[in-house]
Amino acid sequence: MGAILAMAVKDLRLLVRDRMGAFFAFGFPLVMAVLFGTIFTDRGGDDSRIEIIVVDEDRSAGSAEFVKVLEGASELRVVRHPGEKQAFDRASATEFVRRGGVPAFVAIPKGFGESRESMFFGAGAKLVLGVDPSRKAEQGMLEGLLTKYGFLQLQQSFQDPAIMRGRVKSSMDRLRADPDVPDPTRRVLDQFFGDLDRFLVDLPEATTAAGEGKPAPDRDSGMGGFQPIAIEKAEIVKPARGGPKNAYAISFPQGIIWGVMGCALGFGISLAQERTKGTLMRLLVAPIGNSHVLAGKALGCFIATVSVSLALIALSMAPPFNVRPTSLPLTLAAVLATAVCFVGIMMLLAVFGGASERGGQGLGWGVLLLLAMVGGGMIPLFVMPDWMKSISVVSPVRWAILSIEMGLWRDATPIEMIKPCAILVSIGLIGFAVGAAKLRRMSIA
Amino acid sequence: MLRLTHLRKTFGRIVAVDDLSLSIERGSIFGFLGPNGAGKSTTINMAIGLVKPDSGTVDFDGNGSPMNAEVRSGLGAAPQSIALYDDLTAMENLVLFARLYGMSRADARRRAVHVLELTGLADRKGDRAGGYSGGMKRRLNLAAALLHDPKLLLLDEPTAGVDPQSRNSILDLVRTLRDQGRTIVYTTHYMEEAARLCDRVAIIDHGKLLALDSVDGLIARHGGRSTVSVTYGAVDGGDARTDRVQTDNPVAELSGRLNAPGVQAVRVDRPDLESVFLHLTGRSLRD
Repeated sequence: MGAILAMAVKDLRLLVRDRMGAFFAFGFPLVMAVLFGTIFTDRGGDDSRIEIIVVDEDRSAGSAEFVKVLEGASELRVVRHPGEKQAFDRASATEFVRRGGVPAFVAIPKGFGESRESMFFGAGAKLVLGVDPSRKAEQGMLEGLLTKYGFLQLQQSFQDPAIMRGRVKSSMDRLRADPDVPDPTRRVLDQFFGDLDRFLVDLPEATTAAGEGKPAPDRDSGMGGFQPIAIEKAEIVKPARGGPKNAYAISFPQGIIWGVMGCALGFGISLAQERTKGTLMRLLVAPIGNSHVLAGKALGCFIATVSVSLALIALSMAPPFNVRPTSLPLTLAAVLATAVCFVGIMMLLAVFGGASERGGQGLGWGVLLLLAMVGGGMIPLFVMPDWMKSISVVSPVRWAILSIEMGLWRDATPIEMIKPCAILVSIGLIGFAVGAAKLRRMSIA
Repeated sequence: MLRLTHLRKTFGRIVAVDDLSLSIERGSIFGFLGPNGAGKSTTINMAIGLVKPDSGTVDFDGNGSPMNAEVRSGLGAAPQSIALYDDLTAMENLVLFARLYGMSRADARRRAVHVLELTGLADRKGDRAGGYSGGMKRRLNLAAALLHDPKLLLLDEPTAGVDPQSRNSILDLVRTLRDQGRTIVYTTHYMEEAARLCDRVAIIDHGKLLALDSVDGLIARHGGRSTVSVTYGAVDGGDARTDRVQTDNPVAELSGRLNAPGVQAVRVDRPDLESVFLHLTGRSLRD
């Protein structure tokens, strides 16, 4: 055991003193994690509101009021023109959406305010919605939100009879002045508005008068409590399972994987380096076997991998990254399982990489980059197309990222952690066994 | 101490060692002399258990083959290539190698200091091996073989690429180690080293053992006769000339010619291991 530990310490010392090796094991992963986390954070990673541009072409009191409603909507973030004292018009808004600046724009065309005043006749208020074709999900949501806020104004009107009477009077005036309305329609609507006006005159007394023993109707519900559709929220209590709190919760696990791969590659080619430089001969002249040499490398790789992973996790918890693991024990389990897996991969690289360092590096980078591409080490799993997600299951990188994310933010239970960790450990053990068997048959001199 | 019996090793179509048998006595310096590619290193590698012979046996001190890890604990080897970690200090290198022999960290450090002093490197123990000169690296390479106080030392071309001063230092150290009771197997392609150091020399070429004896014995049996050269100046109108005579008794031959008129210069070339090799193979050792 002393010999194995001594060889592991030797390899760790060599890794730290090799600047390039140390950079790829620790520096590069950190750069990856910070860079990609920052990029996605700057794109509003933590804000789930839909960004839109609002173009008010009508510039009426009605349109201004509607713009205010949209600006106050909790689901939307109205984006202003980046230039000082400039405002978007439809053309510039269209271009901005086309370039991917925001998912959509809403244009309020001329006549919007007037149309809003004309109840039950005329073309009705219109909005123009321009959506980035690649943001289909947002399109549906925006249509619903615009309809919601459009009706909200109408609903609020119904809540106040005085406002409603004003609208009715305005509508009657427009009706009488509009030459395009057919006479039969004009007569029916004229009578309707008259009846409605009388209704609204009587309504305040009816809604405010309380019957004996009956509570007064809720004024906020409007017109004696009537609403076209009343939505009551039912409370659903769910275990606090959320997505990543910020973009760094995604980028740091990816960075950890790059660190782990750097360690695996560094140790993987070290056997070829030792053979080339003659130090392997020195090791094997000692009263130890090939398996001791391999065990020393495996132990060194394991320690390096766990250290890099824990260091990156610790860094991710500090400002400005502020990643808060939801379960430290599960995160540690993921780190250990990942380390076992990549030690096994290192073993395979060490014995199948050939006698030369160059051959080992070539094979190592080829294999690891492929695993990273397929497994979510470059493109996050959630943005992959379905066919690629189904292929990713063969990559240990996928399981490693998944297990670390499960400890960091996916709120996994210990039972749920078993599957990815078992897969990782199995890969590691198989790799070690195959590597050890091959090394025993290899000639050293 | 070490017995090699009918050893044979091939690498593809190349026969590196061909039916080699010899035994090495305790407390002596045994030399393998031969040109590059003669099979010396392969023989050494089989003797220390790194390479499995195709046939034949190696027995170390009656304990069996050094392919067995436990048997190797009594062997120390300094390979031809400098087997050191350049990014580790001399001390770190030696402590690592000592730990491989089962020493505790404290014992490893003590032994490392001892061998560094023995090889004259104690004042540079904290420097990385990569910063050493060639001669210093060779000495450190040798020091690593001494850590566990082995009974048998195998030194494969320990002075290759080394300056004359470092070479003398290494040769003196080897003699000291022999005087301390160790058995040393020394491979070299330098005739002078073999002649200077070795109690017995095995001459090897193309994997075969050509001759085995003490240096004097080899010269007497295979070296041929001495050559006495006498140069005469022009006398009585004659031309200057040089007479060369092969003789078993150069002193007598020389005495008889010194009184002749016109002797300007005399030279005696005694046979050496170079001439032994030439006699045995028809080639010069330096070819």
